[in-house]
Amino acid sequence: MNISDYLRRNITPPVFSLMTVGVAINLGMGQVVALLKIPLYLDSLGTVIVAAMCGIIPAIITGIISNLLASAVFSPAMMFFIPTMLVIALLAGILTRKGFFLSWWKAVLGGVFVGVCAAIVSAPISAYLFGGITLAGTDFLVLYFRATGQELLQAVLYQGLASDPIDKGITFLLAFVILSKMPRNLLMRFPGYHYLRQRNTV
Amino acid sequence: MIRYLPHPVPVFLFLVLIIISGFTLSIVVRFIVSVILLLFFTFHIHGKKILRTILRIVIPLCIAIGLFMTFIYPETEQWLTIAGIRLSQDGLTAAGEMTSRILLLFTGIIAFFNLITIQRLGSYLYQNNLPVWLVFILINGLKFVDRFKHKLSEIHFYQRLRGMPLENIWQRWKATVKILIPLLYFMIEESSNRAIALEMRGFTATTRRTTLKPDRQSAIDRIITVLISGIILFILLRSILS
Repeated sequence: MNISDYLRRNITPPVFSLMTVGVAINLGMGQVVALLKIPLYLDSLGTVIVAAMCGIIPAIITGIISNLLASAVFSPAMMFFIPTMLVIALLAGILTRKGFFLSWWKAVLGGVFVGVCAAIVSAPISAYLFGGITLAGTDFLVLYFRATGQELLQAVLYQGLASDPIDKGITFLLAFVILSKMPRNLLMRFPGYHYLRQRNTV
Repeated sequence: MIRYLPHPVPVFLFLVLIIISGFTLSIVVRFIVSVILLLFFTFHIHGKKILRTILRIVIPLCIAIGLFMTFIYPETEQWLTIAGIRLSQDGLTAAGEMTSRILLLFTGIIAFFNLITIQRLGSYLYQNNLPVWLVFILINGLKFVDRFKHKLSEIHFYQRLRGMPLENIWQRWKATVKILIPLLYFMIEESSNRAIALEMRGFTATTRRTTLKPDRQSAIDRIITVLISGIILFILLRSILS
């Protein structure tokens, strides 16, 4: 089965409609964070939810479109962080299939792991393209590590490792809470249903 | 005021040219090209919007990066002292390198999204055989953000009305979950209903739809396309040969 056949069979109206919502969640979470004044990004929640409910390919497409639209609306810097979103989508999809959304602690653990991987992928982009500065609240950490004599890439990587696992851990926990509260009849419309509920409860 | 609104193809090639230039031109040339672009956009139909975005996003970022690279550059050995402030030659060079690149790249990206709206880009891509669902996501993604924000403020308003405490960080955390669950449930359920409506209207039918106004390139667009393609080829060949 080639990619166009796969897309025709798997990207059904409920899936692409949910992908649109995933894009909106990714872009709109900034508003939630600003409204409630919580010190996080949560900008990949939509991608994680799509990965859990629909699979890896829809999550990857959601992530790419989210970052493209974010670069059009918020900051052009978002376009350069598409690889990070790809890694998050890929790992979230794989972890869902491994049963990481069946209990809250597994979800947090998976989120922390994804956060570490995201930090490793985003560090070179942030360091070589922006000198480690993205005008986010975590920039002071880069300044601190840099002032202690660390190389730029190392400083950006340490900053990412300090903040990303927490952010992604909470993102995965939020996704788990939302998906576990979701009514079964709604979840059953999506292909990822069997990975989100214990088999004996079906 | 320039009234010309280009076709997506020359604008996309222009973005590619800007990205290549951002990594191949020297610092001074990058600054000069950025200033020329900014002057051009000042007189363009969307100029005010483009300049406002650049002033709001790019300039603060460039200033922050410039200061950071200039003052915190530990590996350096050469130092200059200007008005009591110690500056390093390497730091200044790195600051110029990075700020000029960001100014040029970001100006190009901001110009791209202002010269071509997402709706027009989606319409053009659909005419060029992009799957209809992908165009649907691209065009409706931003519309759904407005819906998301509207519903968010509605839920937040009613929860405050019921007396939800939001004083300390723990209460705000709990409020986040209490807001997100109904909000996302509403969004997902609405998307599911929309999917049924789309399916009933034959949205995923394999027959291609006709378009009322096919998006074709004008003579000016073709000339610009050829010119930019030539410049890109020249830059690529020169960098390969050198």
